[in-house]
Amino acid sequence: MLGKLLKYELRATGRQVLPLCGGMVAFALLRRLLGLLQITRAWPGLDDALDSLGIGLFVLLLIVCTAAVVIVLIVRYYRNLYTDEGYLMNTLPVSPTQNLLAKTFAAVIWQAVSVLALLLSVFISVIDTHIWRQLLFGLAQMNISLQHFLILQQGYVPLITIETILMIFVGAFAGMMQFYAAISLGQFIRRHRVLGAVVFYFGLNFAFSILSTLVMLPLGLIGNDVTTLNMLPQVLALWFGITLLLTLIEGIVCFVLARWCLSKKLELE
Amino acid sequence: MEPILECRKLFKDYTSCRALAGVDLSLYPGRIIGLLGPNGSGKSTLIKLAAGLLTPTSGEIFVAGKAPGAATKSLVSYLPERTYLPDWMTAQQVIDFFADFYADFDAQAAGDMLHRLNILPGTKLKTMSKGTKEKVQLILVMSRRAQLYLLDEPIGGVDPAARDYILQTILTNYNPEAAVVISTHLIGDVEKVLDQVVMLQNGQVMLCATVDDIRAEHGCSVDTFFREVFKC
Repeated sequence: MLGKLLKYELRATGRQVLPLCGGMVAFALLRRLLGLLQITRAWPGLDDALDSLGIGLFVLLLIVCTAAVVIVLIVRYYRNLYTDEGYLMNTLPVSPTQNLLAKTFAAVIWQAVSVLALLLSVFISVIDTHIWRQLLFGLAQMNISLQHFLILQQGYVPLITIETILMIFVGAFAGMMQFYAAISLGQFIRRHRVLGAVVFYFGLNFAFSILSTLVMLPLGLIGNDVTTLNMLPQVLALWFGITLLLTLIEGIVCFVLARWCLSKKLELE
Repeated sequence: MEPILECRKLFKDYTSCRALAGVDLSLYPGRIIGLLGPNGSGKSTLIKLAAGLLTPTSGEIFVAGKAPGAATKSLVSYLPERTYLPDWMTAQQVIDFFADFYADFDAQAAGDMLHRLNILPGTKLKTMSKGTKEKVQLILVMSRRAQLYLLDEPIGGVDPAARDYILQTILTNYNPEAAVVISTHLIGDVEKVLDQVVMLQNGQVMLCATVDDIRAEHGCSVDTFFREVFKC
């Protein structure tokens, strides 16, 4: 049943997410094409102005589309489970856990797709330009600096890399779960459910911030005592690891809260 | 025989009112049951509790001996009083959706009924009128071989011709071994199809009897009896 739920979830959200991702890539392609054509090459000043305007619009489009993907996923959760569509989804012969998992998997997949689309559109936009050359130079410099830091602790490089990659997915999961939990808890404020969701979102955020500050505080103190570069990779790996663990715990806590609301406290209007 | 729907001292409170106040009720399969009562008597609340869309404040509710959950939802075919199908889907997509999730769904029967209503499989729900959407929902719900049908106000807000169509669809498609619970206050229209009546008043069961018993005991139709009891 989870597979079927995921299929419909991807289909329902894909209708809105894919055009947004496609929009980013299409705009990048269009910008490069217009740049190559240099349609106003007779007036270089105008070309430069149009180019600057294009970059501004492009950055704005990337921000809007990435934010819109998250909004689509949040609205989908609310509408599909707590408004009229909830009468369909909550009467299917599936458990609340399956319903929630399908939405979470779909959200993580679409967030990953939107990040890939964003990277692809940036790549299309800058490849073989002076920005690209500067970017490569910057990356090379960063690589040299990293080598300096990590040369004595080679074993930590794969660990930090794995932690960073995992953080992208765990972060997407926990971030979305926080929205889901807030929306589910907001249903307790019967007359102002959306407002309730907003209040619970900030409440959860505050609680997790306090928790992570308390946990990270000792690590910060250790960090202050790092006097040699030799220890930096170890501290970095530990810091990344604890952040990853904390984010995962936040996500799981929010998942449990959302599941409890769906299974024990469901109150459809 | 085990009851298909059973309530024991069932209470449901909302923020500002008590919707159900100690409902004790047992409904058995093989009957069409009218859940009758004036507005605010708790009909929809009782149906939503059985469908698992609300949580009881206290007391117990069982469907085929089990508390509402994933297992009971595969036995219950529920028609809410609102349109609940996603607007972006086509008629064929909603049929596929039901076929995917309900093992007892007869996709062929649903397709035939939609065809008789001249609804093309590729028609999007958002292009349909509210009445047509309600008919599509009813067709989906009645195309299941469920053990308990919960129909919340299926004829409320539709014209008399549509009412006839809806009642005919219910009568010709329901599983005879199942119980059909129809919540309504339009008793005159449904009385002819009912075997049993449950009357709710202020969240309590005021009467639970067969239609024949009511007629014999009170010498009038259920509709007339209802009007006398709930006279304003």
